[in-house]
Amino acid sequence: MEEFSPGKPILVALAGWILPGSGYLIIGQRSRGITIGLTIIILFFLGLLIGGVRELEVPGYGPTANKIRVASRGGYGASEAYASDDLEEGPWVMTRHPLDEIRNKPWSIPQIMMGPIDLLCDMWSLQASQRVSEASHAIGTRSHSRTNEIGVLYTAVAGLLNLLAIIDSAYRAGQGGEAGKAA
Amino acid sequence: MISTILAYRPFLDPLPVWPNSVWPWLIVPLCVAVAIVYKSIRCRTMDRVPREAAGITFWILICMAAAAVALAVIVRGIVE
Repeated sequence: MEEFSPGKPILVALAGWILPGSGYLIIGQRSRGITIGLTIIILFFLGLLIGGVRELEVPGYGPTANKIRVASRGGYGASEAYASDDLEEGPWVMTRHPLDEIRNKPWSIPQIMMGPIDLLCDMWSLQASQRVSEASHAIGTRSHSRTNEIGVLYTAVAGLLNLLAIIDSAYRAGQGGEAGKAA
Repeated sequence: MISTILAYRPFLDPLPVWPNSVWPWLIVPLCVAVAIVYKSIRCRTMDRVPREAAGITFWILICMAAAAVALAVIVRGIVE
């Protein structure tokens, strides 16, 4: 029986977050890891294909990739503060009201469970949202209605399935590889 | 329709699937993926996964179709 190490489940969970399915590879369950990892990655990119990369809403940034900044109205205090991506000055919303901003974009929470893949796609989304010049449109097109809903659903479900895989692989690592050894 | 397809840029534009006859089919790949991951986690050996995932995909789709029919009947009953 493999000796239990308390750091191993954490390492396996971290690996599973960095690359979906890789947690299983570390504990020696190759076919399970490849099957789960490939399925989750394909599902995430299918979502981007359906809704377009701009369906990923990045907390702290507006629809045209400008930073959302906070300003207060006439010095009435924080309760009167408002945030907009049109403001040139003012503190970034993620430094002042990060929880409010993330609550405005709840799908970003399951999507971040995809790890660096989601972070890279968020950067791609911001790049596709930027206007080339003041008069021109952004490179990418925003999706609306059903295509947006289904695309976002795909990416969010991919993130949640990866969370499930992270928990399962970390649990198996904690059991010393005994759980599901037959894989 | 052809011009829309020709102008389509993958990942930069949303998939042109607006007609009501097309977009409901997008639920199928989602169900397949959920079934594969779920059964890969649950099954003790991976050789059982394809068969069990196919079974659970079938039942998810049947149940969702039944729920859709039931909801349609209820909505029509209320409206008409």
